[in-house]
Amino acid sequence: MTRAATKTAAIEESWEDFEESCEIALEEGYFALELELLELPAAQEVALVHTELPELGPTLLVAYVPLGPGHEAAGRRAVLAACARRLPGVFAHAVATASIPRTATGAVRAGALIDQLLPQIARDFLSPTAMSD
Amino acid sequence: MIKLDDIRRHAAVRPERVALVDGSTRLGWARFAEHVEAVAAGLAALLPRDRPSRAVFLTENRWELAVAMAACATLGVPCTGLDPEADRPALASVATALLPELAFVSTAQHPLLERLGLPADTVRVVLDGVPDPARATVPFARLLTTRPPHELPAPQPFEELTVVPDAAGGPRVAVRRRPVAGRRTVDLVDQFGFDSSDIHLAAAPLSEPTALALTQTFLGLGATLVLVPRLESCALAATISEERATTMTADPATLLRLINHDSARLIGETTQLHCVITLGRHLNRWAVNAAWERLGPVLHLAQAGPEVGLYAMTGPDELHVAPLRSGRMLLGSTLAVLDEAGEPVPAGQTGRIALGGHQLLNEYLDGEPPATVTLDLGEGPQRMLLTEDLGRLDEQGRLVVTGGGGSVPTVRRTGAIDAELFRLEADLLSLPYLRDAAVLRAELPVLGDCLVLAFVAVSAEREANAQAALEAVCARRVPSLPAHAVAVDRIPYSPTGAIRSAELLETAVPMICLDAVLERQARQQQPATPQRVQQEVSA
Repeated sequence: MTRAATKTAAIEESWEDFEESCEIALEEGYFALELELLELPAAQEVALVHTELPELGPTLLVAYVPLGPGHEAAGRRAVLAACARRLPGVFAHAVATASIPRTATGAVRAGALIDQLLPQIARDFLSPTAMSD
Repeated sequence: MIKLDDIRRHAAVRPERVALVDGSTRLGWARFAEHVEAVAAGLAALLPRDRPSRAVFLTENRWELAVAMAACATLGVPCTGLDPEADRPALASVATALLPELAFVSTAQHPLLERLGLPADTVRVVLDGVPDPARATVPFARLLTTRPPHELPAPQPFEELTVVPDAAGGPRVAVRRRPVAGRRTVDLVDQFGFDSSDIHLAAAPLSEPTALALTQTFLGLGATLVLVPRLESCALAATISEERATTMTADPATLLRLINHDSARLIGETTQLHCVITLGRHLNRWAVNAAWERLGPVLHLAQAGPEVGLYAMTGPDELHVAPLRSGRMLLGSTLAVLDEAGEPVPAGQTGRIALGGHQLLNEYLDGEPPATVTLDLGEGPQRMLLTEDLGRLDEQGRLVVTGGGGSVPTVRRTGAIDAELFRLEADLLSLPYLRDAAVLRAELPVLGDCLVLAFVAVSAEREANAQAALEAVCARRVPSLPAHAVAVDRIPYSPTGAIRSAELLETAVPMICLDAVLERQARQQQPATPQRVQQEVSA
C-alpha cells in the first residue's frame, strides 16, 4: 500500500469516528435540550424537531409560542441560548408561531409543523438573488 | 368500555341519574341501557357468527360512540380508536392490520375512512346524519330501533387492541388477552377517591387509550360522563361550569387552549373541578404554572403508554418541585431501572426503564414478540417491557425520565416540493408588482391543504397584474398545491419579523371564499357554451 493510500484510509477512519461522535453528541444533547426547553418559562409552548431542510441541511428547528406580542424576541433568545448550550455544533433556527400542531398525546406532529413553518423559514434565510433561478 | 350488565346495575340503583351528556343530549342510565341493548342486538345481526369480529371507530367524541362501544363490549367485540389526525399511511396500515368487520364513523370522517383501504365487506355504521346510499352504510339510528332478542349472543373471548403509534418501524397494535379495567378502577379509586357522585368531562378523544381508560373507569363507577369536542376552549369552559364537572381528562393541546381562554380564571374560582388529568410527557413548565394560577391546584400529569397503560402520575402538590417528565408509580404498575447487562440499578442511578404490571400487553398483533424481560423485584418473577426511555428513581421515589435510548428522529424534508416551496419565497420577493407578500401553507376546512398567498400590490391598479403574476409563479413552482392569492392592506408581522399567520389567515380566508363564490356566480350568469360546461366539470 502506498503512503498516499494509507493516509487516505486514516483520514476516512478519523472522519468516520468524528461522524460517530457527532451522532452520539446529538443523541445525548437532543434529549437534554428537549427537557431544557420544556422547563423554559419564556414561552407558552416549545417544539423541537431535528430536520433536514432544502438548502440548509440538518437543522434543529425550534418552534415556540411566545408569551405575548412583546415577549417574542425574549423567547427567541431563550430557546436559541438553550440550543447553543446543549448542541452547539448543530445549526438551530427558532420560529415564533401561533400554535403547534399536536396529537392527542401531546406529541408534536412534526410533518404538519414543518409544512406550517417552511415558508417562514425560507423567508428568514433566503435572499432573492441567491435563490432565484 | 362498560358492558350492558353494569349499565343495568347502575340503572337499577339510580334510573333517573344522567349517565351521558353530549351537547343537548342527556341519557339517563335506564335510557343508556335500552340504547346499548338495541344497538348490541343490531350489531349481532350484522356480524358473522362463525368467527370473532373486530371494530374500529373514526369519529370525534359523541354519545352515539359511547353507546356503540358499550354495545361492542357487551358482545366482546374489541373496538379500537383510529386517530383522524395521524399520518394517512400510518392510519391505513393500522386499519389494514386490524381488518375490522365493523367501522363506526361520523359523517365528517367518512371520506377519510374510505381512503384507508378497509375491506369492502366491513360494515360502516354512520353515527350521525344521513348515510350515503352510494357507500353501503348502516345508519346508527336504524340500530337504535332494533328490537332486542330474548337473549344476546354469548360474548367473544376477551381481546383488547390498542394502537401504538410511535413504535419503531411504523405503528403497531398491542394485544391484551385479559381484562384490566376492573383492577385499574379499584387502583384509581384507592389512590384518587373517585366515586359515583363525580361528573367526568372527557375533553380528549376516546381514540387515545388513557382518555378511554378513564372514561371506562368513571362509567364503571356510575358517574356521569360529559363528552365535549376537542380543542373547543369556549365550549369546554362553558360546559365545566354548566355541568358542574368535578373531574376532567383533556389532551395537552386542549388544556393549553383552556388555560389561555379568558374565562379560565373563573373556572378556578367558581367551579367544582378538582382533578384534571392530562398526559404530561410533552407539557411544559409554563402550562403547569398557568394551570395552577388559572384553574387552581387541580392538574395531574400522567405518564402512560399503549403497551403498559397508565403507570405514573404527578399530582398538583408536587408539580412545582418535581421535574417535568416525572411521576410516582401508580398502584398495579411496577418499575425497574436496568443497567446495560439488564440488571436493576440502585435508586439514583440512570438506566433503561422497564415497566410491568397488570396492564402490560401480551403480544403485538403482527406476531412480533414485545421486548420484555423477566425480573424478580422481590415479589416473584414478572414480565416487564423494556422501553426506549432512560431514567432514574430520585431520592423522593419518583420516576424521572432523563432521555430516550433510541436515535434522534429526523424529519427529512428535502423532496422536490419542499425545495420548490423554499424557492417560491425568493421568487415572490423579486416580483416587481409587489410591495410585500407572504406565503402560508395551511390545512383549511373549506380549502383543504393549500397555499394562501397574501400580497400588498404597489398600487391598486397593479393588483390584478400582481395576482396573475403570483398565481403564475405558484403554478410553475408547486403545481400540485392549489394556491389562492388575495390582496390585503398589510402583512402583519411580529417584532422578530415572523408573519402572524393566524391573524393573516383570519383576514385572507373569508376574502378567498368570497372571491370563489363571486367567480362561480359570474360563471353561472354566462351563457352555457361547451367550453364553459367543460370548465365547470373540471372545476
